[in-house]
Amino acid sequence: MTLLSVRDLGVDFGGPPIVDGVSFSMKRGEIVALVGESGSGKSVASLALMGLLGRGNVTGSAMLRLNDGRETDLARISSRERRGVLGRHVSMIFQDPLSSLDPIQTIGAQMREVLALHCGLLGRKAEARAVELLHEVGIVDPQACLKLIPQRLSGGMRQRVLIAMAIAGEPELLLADEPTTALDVTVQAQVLRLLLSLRARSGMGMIFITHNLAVASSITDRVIVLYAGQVVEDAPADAFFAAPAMPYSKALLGAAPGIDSVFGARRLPTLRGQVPAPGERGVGCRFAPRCDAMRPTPCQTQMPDLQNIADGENEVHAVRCGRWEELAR
Amino acid sequence: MTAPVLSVQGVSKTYTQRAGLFGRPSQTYALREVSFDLRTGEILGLVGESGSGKTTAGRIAMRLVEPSDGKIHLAGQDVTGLSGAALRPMRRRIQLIFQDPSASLNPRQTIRQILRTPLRLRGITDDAEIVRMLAIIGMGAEALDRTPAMFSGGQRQRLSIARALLMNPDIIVADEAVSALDVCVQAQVVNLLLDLRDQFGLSILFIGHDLGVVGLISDRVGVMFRGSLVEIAPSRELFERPRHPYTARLLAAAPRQGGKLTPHAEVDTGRFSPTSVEGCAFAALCPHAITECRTTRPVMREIAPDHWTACRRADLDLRPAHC
Ligand SMILES: Nc1ncnc2c1ncn2[C@@H]1O[C@H](COP(=O)(O)OP(=O)(O)OP(=O)(O)O)[C@@H](O)[C@H]1O
Ligand SMILES: Nc1ncnc2c1ncn2[C@@H]1O[C@H](COP(=O)(O)OP(=O)(O)OP(=O)(O)O)[C@@H](O)[C@H]1O
Ligand code: SF4
Ligand code: SF4
Ligand SMILES: [Mg+2]
Ligand SMILES: [Mg+2]
Repeated sequence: MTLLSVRDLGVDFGGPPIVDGVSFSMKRGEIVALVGESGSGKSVASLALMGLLGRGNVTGSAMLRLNDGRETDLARISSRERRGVLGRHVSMIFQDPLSSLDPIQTIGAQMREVLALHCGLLGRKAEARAVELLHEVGIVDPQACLKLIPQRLSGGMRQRVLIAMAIAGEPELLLADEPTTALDVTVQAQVLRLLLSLRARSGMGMIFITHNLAVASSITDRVIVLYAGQVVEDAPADAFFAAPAMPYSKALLGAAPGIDSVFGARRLPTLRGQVPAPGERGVGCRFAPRCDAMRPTPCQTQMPDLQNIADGENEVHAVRCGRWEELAR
Repeated sequence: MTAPVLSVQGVSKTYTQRAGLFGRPSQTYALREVSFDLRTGEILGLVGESGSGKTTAGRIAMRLVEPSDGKIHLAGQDVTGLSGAALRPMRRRIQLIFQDPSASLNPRQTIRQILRTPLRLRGITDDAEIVRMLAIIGMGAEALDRTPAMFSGGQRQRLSIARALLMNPDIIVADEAVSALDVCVQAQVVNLLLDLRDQFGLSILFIGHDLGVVGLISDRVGVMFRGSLVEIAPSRELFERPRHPYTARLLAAAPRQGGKLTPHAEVDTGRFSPTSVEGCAFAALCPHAITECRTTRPVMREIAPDHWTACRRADLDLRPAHC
């Protein structure tokens, strides 16, 4: 059953589009990774599809179908309606853990507020639930943690507090923007497994934004690659990691040093140039200036469509590259 | 052998915490008797548990945080007791690169103004050195009149590295300096740090969570757990032949492209058992613990040349499965 259906989502801030015709849909309980370089539009797209973008023009839609049958277009939800949905049915972990916590209130006070608002828990019940949640995200001494202000926690502890607050209401959709960058790999694995258990228990769907493809690999069902505001590949995780079709996806996979292959290499492979600024995009493929497989035609003359290359009837493996077939040989 | 540029010797840091509102204040260790050397021209990686004291160790080395106990030597000189004016020259020799470049570059200043500040502190007034430094980080002079907002995250991180380098430091502490960067930019910054070390003999303390990145950039890697340094060894040796069970656990947990995790049925309760003060900090979680592990604290010892571990069991074979 479909949980979220994003159709032709576009965002601009008065200039050329920052997010350009993004479409994808996800099933209940599905975990989708949104990956791509810095500036590719991951955060703007996700804020827009949550109706949380402060300014900017949003076009298209993001239909959310809740368990109770309610349907809402998140991209144009009214602020009153949003209060009823956000935190309880849909929640979000923002990219910047520092600015998402109130610096002068204790963790306990901030968690109690969330638990009262989204779970209706007060007093001792709230306290007990807060301890339990911090436990689940691997905080060694939850009681002590509740009494501290954010500044006294290490970076990874703050990030886990935010995760605990975001999952408190057992949301149906969780949007997590780089939620595990500050965690060591054992705690990271624990938090990721916790998210997987939540999905198994309550059918939570998740959009997981990250630039770490190894992390994406460990929990996602599907990978969506954004480049210069467009979806350039949308593939089942297995297919993506076994055989990415778009040259940009291959470059992304190559730039991250795998733990098993670091020795011997003296430098990391880099991708020349950078994502073109919104005003500097050519008419052709937006990746053309950096692509080793580029041919003047068709690459520079025609914007490739996002086409489905999956073998199976009901499968989706979409790729935006005019030469994918030649390159696959 | 020449003296290491930085030597941290038996350093502890305690914070006072209260158990409950009216509880008795108790001491918790953020760092416990940590010792390591940063050798000249070396990149020393520091990995480990979140909250294990990596940032604290870096800040103590820079004397931004006072150690509760222990000594810090800079190029052979004891700097532990220095304060005020006496501290200033040493501050310049050791520079920090933050995780978030946006927070450390003043948005209202131009790059020229930002990069002039460190030079002014060194009494240099012309911009020639700034332009030379921009070239090193792969930028042109046209960057000078722009403000930080006009650069990408990776460019900003390179600019903050340039600012740190203009102080002409001997040592850089990079605390998760590439964690927030995307893989492409991360690769550029890692390569830049390696170039700088090769060209200028810079010594770098590189704190991070991505074991692939830390393994690639570092000559040696130290592993921290609950305030203690539990293992330190040449990078390749540590990854291929870990001698401390916590290191082995960390390596096994590293995510891999194409790898998958399974949901866990219950919370791993072992991890919440309080750290024992007497025994090995890892005892409650360690699959190899024996009785002495819970009663006496293991000390660091050299188990192979240049390879130190705080695990008392030399008989363990902890090599990762694929090796
Ligand atoms: N309020 C805004 N006004 C104008 N441009 C903006 C605004 N917010 C973001 N942008 C631009 O939109 C583009 C996409 O930004 P976004 O933050 O979505 O990138 P991202 O993919 O999340 O990158 P990162 O991995 O660095 O978080 C960038 O070029 C950015 O400069
Ligand atoms: N000002 C403070 N008051 C009390 N405790 C503190 C303070 N600063 C740090 N701590 C504690 O010291 C311990 C070590 O923190 P530190 O920031 O050094 O960890 P870290 O290894 O850098 O962790 P991370 O990987 O999450 O960044 C933590 O338990 C933290 O809560
Ligand atoms: S369309 Fe051409 S330039 Fe674009 S990714 Fe494919 S091969 Fe490269
Ligand atoms: S000393 Fe004992 S408890 Fe500690 S790591 Fe070694 S075997 Fe495990
Ligand atoms: Mg972002
Ligand atoms: Mg830290």
